[in-house]
Amino acid sequence: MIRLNISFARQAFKINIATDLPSRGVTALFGASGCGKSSILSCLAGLESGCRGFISVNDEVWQDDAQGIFLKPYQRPVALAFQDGALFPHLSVRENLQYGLQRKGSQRKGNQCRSLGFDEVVEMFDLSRLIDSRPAALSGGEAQRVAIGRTLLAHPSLLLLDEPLSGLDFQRKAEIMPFLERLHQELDIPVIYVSHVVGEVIRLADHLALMRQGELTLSAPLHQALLDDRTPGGLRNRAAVSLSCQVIQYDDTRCLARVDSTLGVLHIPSGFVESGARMRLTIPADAVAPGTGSDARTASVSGCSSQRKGRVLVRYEVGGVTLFGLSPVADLPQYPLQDGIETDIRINESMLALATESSPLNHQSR
Amino acid sequence: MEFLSPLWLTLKLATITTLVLILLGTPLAWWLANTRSVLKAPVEAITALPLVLPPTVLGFYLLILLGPHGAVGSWWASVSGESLSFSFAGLVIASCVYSLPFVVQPLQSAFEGINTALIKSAQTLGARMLDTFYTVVLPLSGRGFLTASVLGFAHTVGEFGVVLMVGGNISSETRVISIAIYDHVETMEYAIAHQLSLILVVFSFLVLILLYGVRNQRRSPI
Repeated sequence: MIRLNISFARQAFKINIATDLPSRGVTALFGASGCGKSSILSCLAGLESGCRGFISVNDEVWQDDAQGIFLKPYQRPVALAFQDGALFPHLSVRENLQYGLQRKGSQRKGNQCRSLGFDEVVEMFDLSRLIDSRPAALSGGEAQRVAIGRTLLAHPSLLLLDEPLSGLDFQRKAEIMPFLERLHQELDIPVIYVSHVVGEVIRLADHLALMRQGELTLSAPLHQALLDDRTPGGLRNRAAVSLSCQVIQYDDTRCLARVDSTLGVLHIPSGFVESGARMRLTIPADAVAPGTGSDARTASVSGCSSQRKGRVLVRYEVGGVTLFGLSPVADLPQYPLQDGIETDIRINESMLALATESSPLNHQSR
Repeated sequence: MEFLSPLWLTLKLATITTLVLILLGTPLAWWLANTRSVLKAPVEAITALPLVLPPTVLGFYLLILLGPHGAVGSWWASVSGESLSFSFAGLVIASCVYSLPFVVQPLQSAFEGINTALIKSAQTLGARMLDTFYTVVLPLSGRGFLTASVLGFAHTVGEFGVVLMVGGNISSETRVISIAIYDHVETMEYAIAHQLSLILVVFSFLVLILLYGVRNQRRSPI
C-alpha cells in the first residue's frame, strides 16, 4: 500500500492529495497537462523540499513531518524516469545503466521484488546493439528504453514513470508500448505512470487516479473507474479489454485469422499471422453490444455507467472474462441496468484487432 | 635575462590566483546557481563589483584592509610576522578579488545550464550531492571551467591599477609585467618596453586562440 497525504503550493494552485494507492500493478495518474501530476512523482521521489505531509510505501515511512522524518532521494527505494529520459550525455548507454545499479541497486539486496540483473535489462529492452553509444546518438524511443532500463537497475520497490511516451512520435510510441507491457506482466514492482493520453492509460493501467487542479477526483481500479461519472468521456469511450489468444489458422483469401481465446474461437481481420503464434486480442467497447442471434452469448451485467450523450458503458462478465460494451441506451433491455441481470450480447468480430504479444521480444526464457 | 623576471612573476601570480579562484569560486558559483535565498542578489552584486569599480577604488580599499593596521593585514602580521601590503601574498589576495567575477560568472552560467532533470535523475538513482557534483555536474561544465580558468588567468595577467596600489613596484616580489612596462616607459627605456609589450600581446593572443579553438571543438557534436 502506498499511503499519501501531502500538500504543497505551486504558483497557480495548491496540491492536496490524501489517498492510498495499490502497491501492485500500474497506477495511472491521469489528468490535463499542468494539473500537478509530475509534482506528485517528485514528492514521492523526495525531490520536492516544499512538500509537506506523510508518505509511506509498504509500511516504510518515507516522509512524516509530524515525526520529522524525511528520507533523501538517495535513501528512498524509488526510481523516477523523466519525460525526456534525462540520460547523462557524457556517459555511454552502459555507464548510464550502471549509474543507478552501482548506487541504489547494490544497497537494496533485501528488496521484496525480484531484482533484475544488468544482462536481463539489456535483453529485456533490446539494448545490446546500443550499449557503447552515447545518448546523443540514440533515437527518442531508444533513449526512453535506456532510461526505463536504468531506473529498473536501481532496483526500486516503486517505479515512477513521468509520461515516458510524451516526446515520441506515433511509431516510436508503438515501439515502446510492448516494453511497458512486458514491465507490467513480468515484474512485481508497483508503477505509478503519469499520462494524459487516453490510449496509454487503457492499455497499461490497473488502477486509475484522476487529477484535476491539484486535487484527486477519483482513485479506483480501472474496471470500476471506467464506469464512474467522474471519468472523462474520452477515457470511457476508448474502454477496451485485451486478451491473450493463439492463432489456429490464417485464411489468406479472406484475410481473417482464426484464433482461440477464453471467449472461444473468433475470426479477426488481420494481416498474415503464423499458425500457433500467441497474440494479443483487443476488444474495444464499440464491438460489444446487446443482441440476439446464433452467435450471441449470455453475459451477466456487473456494472453500468450513467448515460452520456445517450450512450452508456456496460461491464459484462462472459465465461470468466470481463468485457466492456458501449451502447445507446435505446438498445439496452432496461435502463438503468441492474447488476447481475443476464442478457445476450454479440461481439462484432470485425472490430477486434490482433497485435503481437510483447513484441519485439518473445524469446524470454521464463 | 633580468628583464624577463616580471614575466615569470606575472605567470606565477596568475597561475596561483586562478587555482585559488577555481577552488573558492566553484562552491560559490554552485550556491549561486542553485539557491533561492534572498541573499542571492546581494552576493551576486558583490561578486560583480570588481567589474564596475575602477581598479583604484578596489586597490585603495584593499590597501587599507591589507595594510599593517587593516583587519586582514594586522592578523596576517601577527601570524606570519610579515606585511601583506607590498608583498606577493598580498598581491595574490588582491588579484583574487579583482578577477573573482571572471571565474564565478562563467562557472555559474555553466552550472545553471545543466538540465535539472539530470541532477534529479542522479539523486533518484542514489547519488548524494557531492557524488552528483563529481559525476554529473563537473563533467558537464567542462567548458565553463575552461572559460573561467582562461578568463581568470588572462585578466590577472592584464591587471595594473590594483597591483600598483597594493603591491607597488618591488623587483621579483610585486613587479609584474604591466608595472614593469609602465616603469620602462616612464624612464624612456622604450626598447625593453617594446619587448615586454610584444611578449604580452603574443602571449594573450595565443591564450585566446587556445580558448576559442577548444571551445569551438567542444561545441561540435560528440
